[in-house]
Amino acid sequence: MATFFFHEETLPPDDAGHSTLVRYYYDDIAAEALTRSFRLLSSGARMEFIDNERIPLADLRPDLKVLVRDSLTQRERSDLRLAS
Amino acid sequence: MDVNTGDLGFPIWLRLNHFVNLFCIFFLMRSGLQILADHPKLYWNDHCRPGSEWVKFGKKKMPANRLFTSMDEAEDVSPVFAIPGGHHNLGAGRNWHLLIVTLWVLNGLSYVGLLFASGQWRRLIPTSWSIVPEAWHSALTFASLHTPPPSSFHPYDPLQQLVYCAVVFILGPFMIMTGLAQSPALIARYPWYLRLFGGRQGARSLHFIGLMLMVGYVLTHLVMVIMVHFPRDVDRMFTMFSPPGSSPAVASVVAAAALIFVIVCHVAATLYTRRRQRGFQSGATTIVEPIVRLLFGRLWSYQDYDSSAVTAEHHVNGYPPENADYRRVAANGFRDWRLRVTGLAERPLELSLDDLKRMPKHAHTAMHNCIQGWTGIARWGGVRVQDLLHICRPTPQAKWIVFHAFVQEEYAPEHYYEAFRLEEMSDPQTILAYEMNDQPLPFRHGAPCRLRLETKVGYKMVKYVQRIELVASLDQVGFGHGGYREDHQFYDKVASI
Repeated sequence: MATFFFHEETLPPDDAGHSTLVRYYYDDIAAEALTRSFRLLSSGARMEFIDNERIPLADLRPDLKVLVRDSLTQRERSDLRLAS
Repeated sequence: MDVNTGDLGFPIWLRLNHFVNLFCIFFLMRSGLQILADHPKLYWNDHCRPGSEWVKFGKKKMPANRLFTSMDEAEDVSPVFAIPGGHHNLGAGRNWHLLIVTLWVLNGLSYVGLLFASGQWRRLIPTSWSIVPEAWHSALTFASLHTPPPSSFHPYDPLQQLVYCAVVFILGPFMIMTGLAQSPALIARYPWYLRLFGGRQGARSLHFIGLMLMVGYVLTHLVMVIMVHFPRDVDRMFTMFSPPGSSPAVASVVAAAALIFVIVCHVAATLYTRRRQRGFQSGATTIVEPIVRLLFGRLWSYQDYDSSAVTAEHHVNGYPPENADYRRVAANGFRDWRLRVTGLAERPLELSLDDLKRMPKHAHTAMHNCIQGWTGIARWGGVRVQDLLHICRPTPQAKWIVFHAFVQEEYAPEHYYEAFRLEEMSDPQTILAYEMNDQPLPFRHGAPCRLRLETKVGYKMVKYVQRIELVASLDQVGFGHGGYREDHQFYDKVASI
């Protein structure tokens, strides 16, 4: 376990009418969240990668911190189940 | 001192070559630092065992009690020192390096060609051994914080001439040679080439040492231009379209403008690369990829290292999948795993691991070259991709082959994939490997099978392969740039260096 996906959300459309999809990952070695942002193109299901950013855990939005904590707990339990 | 140089002057082509070199060299240094930051460790051995590095940059400490990947070891780097700076912007750093090195080499070749064609070589290459004691005398003069008189410069001082000669005819070619040794395609075709440098990591370390020498030379050169008989050398190099000496004030202004121009270019290039990563990738790869394909695209791998060369602790990138789909097939030794070959094939396939093992097996011991810089040597066994293609028979419309992996959590909800031109599968050492070092492929190395294409850097060699797809166009693959790394991290898709 190191970097894993835990959340995604779609931001409202910009002036050009493009929405942005942001996927959140957690890197449990660096204790940082990693975001990958995608522009959702109007031509159906296509999207285009924009960039990624790293956010220290301390700077992460409180609701996302809860999601990280829940994911970590769930994954820990899953590891324990496998180990048993 | 060789005084038979006559009045060689400083022709316009020489001044232009000098300026292009000035323009290129800082881009090469900054993009080189960006590449180094992704695996900021240097070794003298090709196994890259943790702790065996001779120098390490950065402060990261990796956990000792759990799996970590070399991606976790990458360091952030300031955009002041590197282009484009930031975290793991390796794709853009590489594209800048390859783009500028092309210009730098062309500039260097034209410079050397014109040196010999015009007789200007006599300004650099000594023709008498007397230059050695004279250069030593000059060095002692500089060391005592004095300056040799203007009459010692013909047009260069003996020490200056020796240093310039060494930089142009030794350090420059040395950087090109050690840089070429970073190409997995070149060293897979000609493994002897690596022995010139003591291995791939030896070449990488020497390339770094060459960079340090180049930095030292550039700094010393700038200081000496200012300290020794200023503004004579500025006047020689920056009186662009008039005879040197005719307008020293103009030359100083042009020199200052040239430096400001280079700085502005760096700032603009850094900002553009960070803000328009896709645009830069598209522009740079349009130039770089055809050159890389021309130089390395037709090289096949002829590697077969001795078994004693196998790396004990082989680095890895990418964590094994943890999801239910993968765990289910892994739980029973991949007996229920099926490799599907789909798309533009006359005969789509669905093969079990046993089916693959019943096909002719090919094994070779080869060096893995990660794009980050580390290496490892392992013996890989499996089935040639070419044999699979003979069975499934691609249709005439099929131009690209795409390898799709199981979903890994670090890429979820997407999965890892990489695409290749169909003809790139012709290399006999391109296999779908199900064995590593004569054992079933370990989980961390991509069980049940992974691609081995020894003329490419590691990110193209998809692990945890689940499906192979034949397509007519890259538009049908991910975001259309050639693979997961190309789509998400702006890498180039040729990956032969």
